Amino acid sequence: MKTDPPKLPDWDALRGKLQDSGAAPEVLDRYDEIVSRRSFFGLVGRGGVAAALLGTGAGGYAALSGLFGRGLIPEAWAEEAEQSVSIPGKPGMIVHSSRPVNGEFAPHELADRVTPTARMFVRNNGTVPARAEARDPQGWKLTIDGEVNRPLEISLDQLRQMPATTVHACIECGGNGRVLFNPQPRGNPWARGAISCSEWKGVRLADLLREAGLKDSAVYTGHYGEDLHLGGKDEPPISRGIPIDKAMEEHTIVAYEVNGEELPGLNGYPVRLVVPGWVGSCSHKWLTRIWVRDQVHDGPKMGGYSYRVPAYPVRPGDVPPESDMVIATSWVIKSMITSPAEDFRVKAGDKVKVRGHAWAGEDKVKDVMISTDFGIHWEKAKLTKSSQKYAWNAFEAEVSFPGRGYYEIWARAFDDQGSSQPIIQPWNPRGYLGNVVHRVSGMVSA
Amino acid sequence: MRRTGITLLLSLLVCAPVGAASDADPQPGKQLFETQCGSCHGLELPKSQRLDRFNWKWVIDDMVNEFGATWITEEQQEQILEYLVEAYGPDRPR
Repeated sequence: MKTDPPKLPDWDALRGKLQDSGAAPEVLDRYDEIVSRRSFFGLVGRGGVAAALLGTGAGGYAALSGLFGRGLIPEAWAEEAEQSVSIPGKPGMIVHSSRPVNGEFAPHELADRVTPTARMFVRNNGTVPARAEARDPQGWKLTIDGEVNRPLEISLDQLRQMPATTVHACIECGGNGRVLFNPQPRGNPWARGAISCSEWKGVRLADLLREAGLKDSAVYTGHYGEDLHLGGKDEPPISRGIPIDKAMEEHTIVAYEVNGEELPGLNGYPVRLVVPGWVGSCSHKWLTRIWVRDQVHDGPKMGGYSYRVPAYPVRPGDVPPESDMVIATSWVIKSMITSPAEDFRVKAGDKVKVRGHAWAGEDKVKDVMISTDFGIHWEKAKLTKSSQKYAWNAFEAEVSFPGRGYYEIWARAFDDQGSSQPIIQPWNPRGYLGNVVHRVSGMVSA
Repeated sequence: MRRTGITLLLSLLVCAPVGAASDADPQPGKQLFETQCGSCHGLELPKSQRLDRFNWKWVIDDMVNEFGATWITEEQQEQILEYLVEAYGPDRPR
């Protein structure tokens, strides 16, 4: 239902009424902060303030309970915020959630070899930290402690002075492809676009861990960032980790630049981890601490069913006991058609270029096969392999269609271990590591 | 007292249907879903889901036990569950 556009509120008048009602100075401060931060979302009207109040790190819970009281959120504001939200710096993003921000881009928008920063997907669990929103590096530091001989505290300047490396690497949300599971599991309905393959600059995590001096007892990392819990709970919204071997791998970096610029607020400013080829939640954003553990890390979203898959195949819809779930680690062989776009229109006999990317987690892409007849016949695409281990590889093929009708172009990648993408998506309870064959459909005219 | 005054004032100013479900409300679960769940996260994601009773119960249990929504009483959880199963069940159109 579409209603009239909201009237612009008179923020000063509202503030005056707050003051007249005897609001405490801290309430007024909070009000000022919230109103001033509207601009982050580029929104006007009540929806803008609602978005700022509720989702961007103004301390959503605190602000709301202070101003409105728990359970008294003006739903009209929230509804408006959700309907009108556009995420600054991410034009064209398909927004699954505005609070927290979660969004992806359609495959045809991800055709570039190096994903432009504006088209990097966003998967947030909590609020965007105030530092990231304000782009304020003052006071940021990274702590490395736990099972190390010399705990470190490093400023941003110190980090930038260390030997740097640049990696071209895929980061892909563990739930990318969830919408292709049947039945569709709970969670963000990611289709194909929760992946980016950008150029990240930073310091090898191995260099930092060596400087701290790993003890023999070190087996795992635990990652912490500045994002806050949406419900105001006094614990991180997410804190995941990786085995020490992956932490020491040369492409795992503590990144402070992407595509030659500082990180965007939504993607981890000022510093994030980049753990290429593994589920994206390992690549912790807004990073402040790496706790080296003597056991598998047990922070929020390491246990239960989060980022975990059954140890054996399960019937679609079945949820095995927690004890049968294992941690999802590296991605598996996968490909994506970036051209033509979904719902293509061509004429019979036209030469149609099929382009896309293929990637394989810790393995290497060997081949990409293309079918235009629902998998009856396959032809090998031309594959241009990247020199970078965790970057995606470009494929290209030329197809044509014999006559009018409904057609699908399928892409199926194979890795050097003999694995390929499944034709039917195997199921798991939370929809992780989806890699079913990509199908793009269209109509062919005579 | 002061906080109550501010709450009332802002509630009046925005003219939004806020507050706890009343006896006259034909859909207490909807109201609770919007005000309680909506106080922490956006509603477009839950509204995009089509889940059966088992999965909606799983979601609500996680929100209370894992994500700290402990102020929602068991009776309210049950009302929210009934609403979500009815409004966003597997057979509802997207």
